[in-house]
Amino acid sequence: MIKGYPRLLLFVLVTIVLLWGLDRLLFGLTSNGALGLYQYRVFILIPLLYITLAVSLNLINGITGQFSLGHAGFFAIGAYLSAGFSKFYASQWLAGMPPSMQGVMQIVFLLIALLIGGIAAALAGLLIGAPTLRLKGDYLAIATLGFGEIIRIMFENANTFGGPRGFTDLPQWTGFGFFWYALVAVGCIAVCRNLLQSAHGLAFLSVREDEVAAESMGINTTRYKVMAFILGAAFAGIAGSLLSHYEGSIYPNGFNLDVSIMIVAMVVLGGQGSITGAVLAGAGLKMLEEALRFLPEFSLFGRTFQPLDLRYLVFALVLILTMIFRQQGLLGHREFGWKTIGIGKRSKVEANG
Amino acid sequence: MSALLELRQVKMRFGGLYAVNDLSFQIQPGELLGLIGPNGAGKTTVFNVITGVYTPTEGSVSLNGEVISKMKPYQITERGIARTFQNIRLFGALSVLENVMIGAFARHRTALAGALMRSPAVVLEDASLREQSMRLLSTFDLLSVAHARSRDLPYGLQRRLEIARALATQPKLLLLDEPAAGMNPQESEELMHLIRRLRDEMGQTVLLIEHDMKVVMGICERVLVMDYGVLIAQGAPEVIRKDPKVIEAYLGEPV
Repeated sequence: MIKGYPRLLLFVLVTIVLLWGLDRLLFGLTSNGALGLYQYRVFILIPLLYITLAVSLNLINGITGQFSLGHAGFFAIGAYLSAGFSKFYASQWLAGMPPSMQGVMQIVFLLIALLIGGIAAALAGLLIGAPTLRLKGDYLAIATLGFGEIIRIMFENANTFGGPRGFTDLPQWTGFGFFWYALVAVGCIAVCRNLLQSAHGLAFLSVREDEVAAESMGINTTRYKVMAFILGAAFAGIAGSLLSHYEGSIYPNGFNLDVSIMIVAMVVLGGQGSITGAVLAGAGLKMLEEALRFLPEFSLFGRTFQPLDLRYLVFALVLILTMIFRQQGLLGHREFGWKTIGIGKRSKVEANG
Repeated sequence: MSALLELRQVKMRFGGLYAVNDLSFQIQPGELLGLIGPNGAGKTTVFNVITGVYTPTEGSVSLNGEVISKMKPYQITERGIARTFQNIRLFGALSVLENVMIGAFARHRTALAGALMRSPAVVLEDASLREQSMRLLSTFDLLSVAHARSRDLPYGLQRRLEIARALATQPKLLLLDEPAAGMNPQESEELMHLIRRLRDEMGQTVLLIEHDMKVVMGICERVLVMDYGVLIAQGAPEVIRKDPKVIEAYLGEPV
């Protein structure tokens, strides 16, 4: 058994090769028409993005127990600032380079853009986290909700970023997209899983369970809350950078309160604190939303409804049913993994259940 | 001999009320000390002042000569004071082992960034924290429930787990807030033996609040008595139980 950093490196390499292979496979399927580009986008790409968003919010809401309603704000910061870097600077630099180097440098610049999105959002997480984490429960939720809206309105009024008309003509460096979207999702899941496997993760959990007891166990609860915000925000920021570098255009309305609420709904539905729960609910809710587009429209009380218009009604229903029949969410605090289906020995997490 | 813990003229005021008034006492290393008094005498407030939950209005608390009365609770735990709570405060959704590991985590050395990548140092440290915690669980006879959710434990075991978790932080001074509360006679008998053993075998210094006089008089070498925020007597159990002021304020009749 290989251990330590060689194992980490091997994991990274195998992941990259596997995802690249899958990327090419999907690309082949879409180019010969077996898979519609639209279906690929709404049933694979966007769910992957929301897996990253749900898993990263789970770190704040589920694992550390800090109810945040501002995840769309971090998402927006990552999307706008990374796109700003690529559009205003990196693409100019790229244009001045010899054509033979442009292919490689585009990947380098994309990586830098993702990093910028992540770091900018992490800084925002620190900025919002430090003063508001004295608040608890509903008050924190309201403060973070306000933060998310401020960010959106800020971009709506920033002419550099296109204002309400949207930030358009952005470099689409993620290309086909699957590889990068999946890489970020896998990275986010791996980081959260590593954290939860170590004693450091227990420190985050202890903050959720009982702050007074955590402090008396030597845990600097403020530090861990801020760290959760920084980490969660960083991944939301990277997800934002992916979006802007795939779509080529972004709009302030794509980062409104509905988005934040949807991500919270995913975490609650999946089971607060469960990574696999967030993955399943993140992908599931987004696919459900898109599936509604394919239902026929219908008339009720003399009005015609598109099923998609009723999506928030459907989500609300899903959440209400969860609250009634399964308050702990689909997976509760548990994880679904190899060990659940009988491969390897039972882990400590399941033994709790 | 220099004192492990020293309180100097500590006053804790809430509005117009002094919950603790001009309290001074010392704890020597290796001592097993009891703190008694009627309800509302300010005993738990003393614990909260020592552990940094409250900052005293006046006066100072020092541990090994270092003033700790302005520090945060986690800093005080790092310096070597651990406590249990009158109303049990376990990490309910987590397992018994995980509860103790969080205590042991107080002495961790690895950085958070390492944990995100699962670095070799973190893997090694996790294994050692786990082993340490398992040893404590076996001392406390909790091994068989190591993977049970702590919320599901019977009351007596929850109290015992809280002591194990506090000890996992490797404290120089252990504060127990009514460890025998709600226990049946047999359970409190076992608890007495356990606390005695901690002191005798590990040299653990203990300060405990307790209403069960059998426990206090049975194991403590020195007893402090508080009433209305003031220390009214201190001394050996035999002296305390004959002290007219203590009988008047708390004991009611000679025990």
